[in-house]
Amino acid sequence: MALSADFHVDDDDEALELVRPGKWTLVVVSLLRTQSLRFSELKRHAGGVSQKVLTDTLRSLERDGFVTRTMFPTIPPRVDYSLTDLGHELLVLADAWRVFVVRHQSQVQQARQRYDAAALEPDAGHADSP
Amino acid sequence: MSLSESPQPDQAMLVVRPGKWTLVIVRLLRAETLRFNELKRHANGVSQKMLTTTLRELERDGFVTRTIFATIPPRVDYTLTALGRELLELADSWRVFAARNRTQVELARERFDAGATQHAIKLIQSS
Repeated sequence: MALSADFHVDDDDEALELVRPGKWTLVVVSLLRTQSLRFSELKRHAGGVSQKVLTDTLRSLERDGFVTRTMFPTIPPRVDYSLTDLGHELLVLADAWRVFVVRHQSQVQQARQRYDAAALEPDAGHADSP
Repeated sequence: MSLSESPQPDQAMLVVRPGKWTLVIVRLLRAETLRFNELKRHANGVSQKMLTTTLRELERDGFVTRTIFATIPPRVDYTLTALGRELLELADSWRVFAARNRTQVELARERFDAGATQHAIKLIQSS
């Protein structure tokens, strides 16, 4: 296969594979914009995220240095999450994403309706096999 | 979700969210149409299932078109749509961000992992 000249994996592409958003990354980062939040608060505001996925998302944000996690030895223990300086830079990207989605969401939803309608037609399935 | 239930701008982010491979795939399709196997080869470490899911989602959302050629074996090509090209811009800014902050993220990871190791040692010592 001949790939065009500008197609190559460089260091920056590796960086993209190293640091990239999961399904809930930008949602969680946006929720932490103005304040620290507890786990249960994040769970409530991020509509529909499961306990496990939220735990994984927060752990990965903490590990990457975007979020700090503070534990208070109360009963029951309280755990707060807030954005670091680096996390605030990520917020800029989250905002760009939101602007994009707001601008294009009706187009996306129309595309979904077409796709789903096509998938329902008996002869026009999405079969991968011949 | 029907159009009448269109979410408020604050909730818009819940409608379209990038997965782990979304931006990587979109960037691979920048210059040309690619087949499934080509994408799989270039997207380092993506599983067959995850790539299928990512492409299907991109197609359903109107970012990518999928063209099947009735050859033997059948050939399936993926291309960015006009909307996909706009997504590419976001993927590019993500890449700039990732490249700029890569070292910081790697340092944070080392600290985090070292902390987790120390915590495990303490737990073992205290038991």
